[in-house]
Amino acid sequence: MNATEHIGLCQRLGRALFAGLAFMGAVTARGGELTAGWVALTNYRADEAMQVFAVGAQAADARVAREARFGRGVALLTRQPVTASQVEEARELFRALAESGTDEFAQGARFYLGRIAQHHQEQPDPEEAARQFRQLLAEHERSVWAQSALGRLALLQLYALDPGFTPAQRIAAAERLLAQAHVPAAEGEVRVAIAEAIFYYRLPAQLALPHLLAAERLGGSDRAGRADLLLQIAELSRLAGLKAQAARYYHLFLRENPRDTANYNARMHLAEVEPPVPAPAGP
Amino acid sequence: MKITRQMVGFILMGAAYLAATYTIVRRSAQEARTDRVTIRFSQWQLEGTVRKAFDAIIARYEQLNPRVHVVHLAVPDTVYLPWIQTQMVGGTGPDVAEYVWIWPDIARRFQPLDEDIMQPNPYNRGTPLEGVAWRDTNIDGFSNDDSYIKSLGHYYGITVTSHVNRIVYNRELLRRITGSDAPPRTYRDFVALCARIQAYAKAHDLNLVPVGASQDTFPFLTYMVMGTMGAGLSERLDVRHRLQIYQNQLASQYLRGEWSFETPELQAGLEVLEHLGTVATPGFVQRRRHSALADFVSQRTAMVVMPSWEASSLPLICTFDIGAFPFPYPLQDDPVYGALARGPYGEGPRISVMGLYLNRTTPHRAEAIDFLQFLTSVEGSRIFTTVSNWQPATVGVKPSGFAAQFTQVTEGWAWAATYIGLTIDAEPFLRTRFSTLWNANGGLKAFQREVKAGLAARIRDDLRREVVSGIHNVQREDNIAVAAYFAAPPAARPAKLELVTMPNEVKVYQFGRLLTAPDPTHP
Repeated sequence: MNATEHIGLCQRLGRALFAGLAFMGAVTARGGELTAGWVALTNYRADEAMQVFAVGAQAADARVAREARFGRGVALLTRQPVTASQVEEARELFRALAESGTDEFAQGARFYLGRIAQHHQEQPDPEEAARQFRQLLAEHERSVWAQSALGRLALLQLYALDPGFTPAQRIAAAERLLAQAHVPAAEGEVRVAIAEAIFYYRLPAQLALPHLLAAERLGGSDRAGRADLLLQIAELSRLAGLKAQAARYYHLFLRENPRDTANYNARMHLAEVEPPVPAPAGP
Repeated sequence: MKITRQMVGFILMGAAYLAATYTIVRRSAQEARTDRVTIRFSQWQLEGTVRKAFDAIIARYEQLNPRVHVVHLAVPDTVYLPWIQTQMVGGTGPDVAEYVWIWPDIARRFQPLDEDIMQPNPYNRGTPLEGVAWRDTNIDGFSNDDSYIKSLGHYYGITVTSHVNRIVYNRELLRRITGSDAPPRTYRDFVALCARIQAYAKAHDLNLVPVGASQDTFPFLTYMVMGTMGAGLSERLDVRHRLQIYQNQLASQYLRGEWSFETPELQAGLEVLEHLGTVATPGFVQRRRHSALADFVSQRTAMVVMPSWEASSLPLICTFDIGAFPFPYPLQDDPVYGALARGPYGEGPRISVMGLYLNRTTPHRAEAIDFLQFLTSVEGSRIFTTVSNWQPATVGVKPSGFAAQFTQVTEGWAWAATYIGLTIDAEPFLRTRFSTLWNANGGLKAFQREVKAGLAARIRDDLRREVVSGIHNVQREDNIAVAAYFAAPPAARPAKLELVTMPNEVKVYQFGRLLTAPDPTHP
């Protein structure tokens, strides 16, 4: 089943589950029934999700109740228009969850406390966001929540924290976070963030090459991101005189992206490191 | 019985009522047929040839797939956006809709096609594209803004055509003036041709100028000339080493002082444009495209700047033979601008347009995808270009007839940077400054002064908006990622949330920092 089929199935499943819940009224919710709320949220139906989570919050099962409270927090951040008071209510829900356990919902709540400070509240608070992310990493380093937070903490380190830091110090601080990456996609994100910051601060571009090579090896980029990686590696390798490596990545780029708008430019630069390749067929 | 005027009125009313009833019943019956699926497809290209092309494609598709009925909804562009938004919000939107990447609510209203476009298009069986991923059968690999929505990191739009701008010329007039109807091959040939046309007009006391243009078409010239002549600068500005530059990146680099309209390549481009102003219809900045077209058809101009989507009507309304040529940019052998040239040039990036999106809530996903596959197959694309005279967007499909003269030149350097089409407010600001460049009381220096005085403020406003929309994007995608995580069975949950892509969140920080720190390379 592909992602779009999954969306369709989720939509149908969500409607069926929601209809069932509405019919049953205020029954005591069990864990599986909250799935309808999550599915509703994936389809931007926050009001529907809030009703599901409201039922779940009354559950006798403490785990279900905690998941429902966590779900309500997410729904509050989704329901349009998202007001400052909704954000505040969500923050309070997440704070209570984070401070009352160590389960998945406590970790997710800690992640959201960081994200709210980083992006959801009106005035961002990078220091608070970093504090929450660091606590999450300190307590649950290998969890999905900590690994998801790692790249976002890297962004704070690269652009927002420590105003007195030089660009090189920012890069070094972000590189230290790599030791806490345990999931390829998380490490790949941090490495891409570092490479982009090297370009942004106009540091010697060659410093980005090892990060780009590692990110490509780790995988996890979407198709457009991977096209960027392949071409950036090829270009930096060419400029560093690493002809064989440059050629390998130009070929990979051209093979995987035969219709990219940079096709001609890439072929011309490839010709500098090995004999020319033919143009793609067609217009 | 005497038939009164009143009775005639009632009879006409009754006939109209019956006709309307019949139409509604017939359509309802069509839709109520249980042996076939009806999908609805909306678009706003009301040019007659384009509508006919879609109808021809639908007819052929229904012939191949009698189980599916496609309803073509052609809606005027003036009302299309509110119409489609109302339909989508009301849950009555078409299964397939033309849409544009900058319009709102793509994630809420449409569904990504990432997996679909990596599969071969079954309608390409028996063609050179058999077995090729659908994505790679499109001339830009669906990398255009309408297909791949960068902020969401997914493919959404299937694009069906492409456009290019050309200078169309009157062959007979050129032959009469120069003895040849061959178009100019170099920039210096073009300058000489314009001078000859002006001299001919003066000698014969004719109301004739070399080039027709208008407020609708001159921007194309400015994009082409500045983007092409700025190629060397673009290469230097490619600090991300991606061999192309996005417009917002270019705008941010303007704020950093890395380029200006006094940079030699751009100054040269402005000089070429300034000359164009002297050989174009006086006052063209204020005139609309139909005026330029009327001048050309009436032989008051020998050439006219023309986008390919308008070209299909020319053979019908011109009484003389016409030709078309790409603007001959100065190359390395040009005596004045050769040192700045970085040719050969492609005609900009190879980009397809007219994105068709799949309704997120369509009950007929498989049929809608199947129709889109036929539409963009070799056969579908061939029908499209043959009937519409528009450019095809499917690899290997040749444009037919007159449209062939508008085939984009892609073998050449292209960086995707136009220097004029920067960001939302910066672009109109720059466009309106060109009246200064072409004004007898203005000129190049005055243009550069005006731009220097006002462009940075526009770019700052635009980047500020990009930061805000980027944050909204992050907020929405955070919640979707978490919801999708919990909606999935525990065994299928990812090891990391699928948040907004890193390049999208990076942009929020980079532009945000640029707006507060004039020189981001220092603390």
